[in-house]
Amino acid sequence: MRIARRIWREIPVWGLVLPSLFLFIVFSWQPLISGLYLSFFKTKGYRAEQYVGIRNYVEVIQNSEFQQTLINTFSYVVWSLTIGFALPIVIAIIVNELVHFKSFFKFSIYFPVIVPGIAAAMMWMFMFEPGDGGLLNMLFGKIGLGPYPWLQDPGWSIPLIVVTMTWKSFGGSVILYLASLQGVNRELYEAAALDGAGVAQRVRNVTIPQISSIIGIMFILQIIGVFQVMYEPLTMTEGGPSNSSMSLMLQSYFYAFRYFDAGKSMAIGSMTFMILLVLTFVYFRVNRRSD
Amino acid sequence: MNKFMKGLVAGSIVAVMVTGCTTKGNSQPNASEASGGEASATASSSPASGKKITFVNGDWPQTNDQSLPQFEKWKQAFEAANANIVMETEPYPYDASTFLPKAESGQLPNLFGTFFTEPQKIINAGYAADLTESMKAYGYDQSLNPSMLDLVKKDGKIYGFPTSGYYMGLWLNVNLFKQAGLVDDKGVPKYPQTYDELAQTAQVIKEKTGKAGFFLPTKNGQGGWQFMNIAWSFGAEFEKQVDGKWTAVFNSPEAVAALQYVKDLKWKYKVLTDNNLVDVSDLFRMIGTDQVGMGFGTADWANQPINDYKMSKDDEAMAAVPAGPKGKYSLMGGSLYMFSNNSSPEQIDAGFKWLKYRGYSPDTSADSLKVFEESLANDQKLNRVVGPHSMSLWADPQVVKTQDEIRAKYTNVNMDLWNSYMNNEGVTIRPEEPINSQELYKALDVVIQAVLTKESADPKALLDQAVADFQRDYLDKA
Repeated sequence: MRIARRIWREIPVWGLVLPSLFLFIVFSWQPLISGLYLSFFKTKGYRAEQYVGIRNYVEVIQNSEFQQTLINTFSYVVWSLTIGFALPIVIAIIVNELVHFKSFFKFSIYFPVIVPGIAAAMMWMFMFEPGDGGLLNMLFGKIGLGPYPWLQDPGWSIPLIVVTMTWKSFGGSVILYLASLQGVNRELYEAAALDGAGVAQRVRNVTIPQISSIIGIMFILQIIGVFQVMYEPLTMTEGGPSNSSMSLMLQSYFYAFRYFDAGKSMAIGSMTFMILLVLTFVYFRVNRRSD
Repeated sequence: MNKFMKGLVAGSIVAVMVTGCTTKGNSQPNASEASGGEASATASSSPASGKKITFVNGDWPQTNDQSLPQFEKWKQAFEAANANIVMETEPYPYDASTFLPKAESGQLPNLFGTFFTEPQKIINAGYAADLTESMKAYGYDQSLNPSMLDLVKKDGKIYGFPTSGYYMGLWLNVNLFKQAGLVDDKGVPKYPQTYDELAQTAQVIKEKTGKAGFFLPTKNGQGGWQFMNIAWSFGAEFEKQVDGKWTAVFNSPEAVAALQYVKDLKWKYKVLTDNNLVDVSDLFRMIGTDQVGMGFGTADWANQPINDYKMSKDDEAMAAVPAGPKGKYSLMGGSLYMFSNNSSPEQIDAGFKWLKYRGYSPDTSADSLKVFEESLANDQKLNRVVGPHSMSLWADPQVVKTQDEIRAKYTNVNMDLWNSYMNNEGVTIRPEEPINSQELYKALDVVIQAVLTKESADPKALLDQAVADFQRDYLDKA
């Protein structure tokens, strides 16, 4: 009787959990498991034909482009952390301190997030058009600079793609940081001010420690997100020039869609998953120790 | 409140389940109709005409294509003539990024078009229906041009219906040639005969008009694909079979010279486009809007910039490919139709009837040529290029002659602008390299992008590396 009552009491909870559980299974776990499974098979289309052990992995790793692709993918992450990690924190703190036009700035900052990804990438591609006719080159030309090759320079393709990614997505992070900042107890600032702390000291000693947990989560989320970069290089450079902006997931896409080799595509996907798993694990270990 | 909440949630779950089922119930027939799968082939009996076959035709103009009304008329007439066929239409221009998911989920139309670079991949993945029986029944196995038929065969079976074959030529923008003073007194462009002349002509265009002289695609595998024309003319070979083993040989002095030539177009003559990451869709745009003087092209592409960029048909011209030190070589390409692997024999037969109706037939009776002629008349009415064409589909010279005569009636451009391409004198037409050609193009894209983006790039070193990589990654495993 008690059990029956308990089950009855939990029905609403399960009612809320089940739909998302169902979506998780269909859209996340099932593809993950079938991806892992397919990566050990020779495939015909998406159908497993013959078990080949780790041959797909060996062939993918031995491919002459793999090493550069792996380095590139880490390079995306490093550039993204360099350019785009501190920026949303700084902007969130500034916007949080604003008295007037706060909503306007919040909207303006969030606006690029609403722009569809491919459209944003294409817009930036037009801006980065090389030669005198490119938008940025025309602007730089007015002050006597350029023309620059932008994305056509193999050394700059990754950082520039990261700039566009940052532009597109930093607004989302700002909103999260803002929410977190609004949860910081105002009395702490007042106490710090009474102790004679300036703005910089208040930010360093009050704000940052108070929002450190969300900073940590955003850090790992950014690594996971950027590590899977695909459509930006696909749209803007197709991984070029000369593979200088090729990423693991883009390579995986090419294996699947251009060469119809799902097994190898899944092998890259699974490796990416493992790398991210290890990175996340390391992060949480380090984080726990520092706590 | 608690009870109310529970009731609400329980109610919502039931509602979700019910609507979920309903949606599925509703969408099922649609999905199977669109899939062109077995389900849609299931005949529903009709007292008047017996079994009805639903056939999904993916070879259908997009909504912005001006030939759509003509196709609609053909559809009506075709269905009237074949009472047991219901033709559903679904414009599906082949696209590598959507093909695999559509094929795997059974959503491909029964009939779809693609290019000669694709069929082997599609056949290997098991997405194409075996057409051997139908090809024999309609006699196409004998009447189609054998060199084209070879490209759609595997292990003696035929999986595709070639619909056009082309060889590359040099596509010219007459407007820019005029502005650069590069036309004779009849207004015919003074097109280059050799690759040296091509560089010089491109330079004159660049100097006189400020626009790029020559277009070379570099991404999507298309850089390597078009580089073939240049490299073969310089005497380069790509893959050689020695004692049964395939070897990559495209680091020969000839191949290096060809790549050096491409590099010179960029840095010495400065005639290429500013953007080094481009493909053929950029060529259509640039040639269609007077942004580039020349590029490799084929007569099959002539109407693309007219439809998409409102280019005048009289501003286009085409010449045979220029000669390199070892002669003139042109890559063969083309398009074909395939049928999805889940098409029933009846659906395939309906597709063959449609193709025959469209004029893809060696039959020279007036009835059979009617739609062929209507199609030319329609193009003429829409101010598209009519007259120039590339290879003939049919092996029988009589068919070729009859079709040429009809085409001559509707020709609406000055053929002096196209004769060099049409006559194609002294040009050797070559098919693709036999092993992993798509991967070869990708490897060549990489070296082409390298010489176009770095002035200090060393063609020899790049090709040595590309050869070693291509050998290890692909040929050693072939």
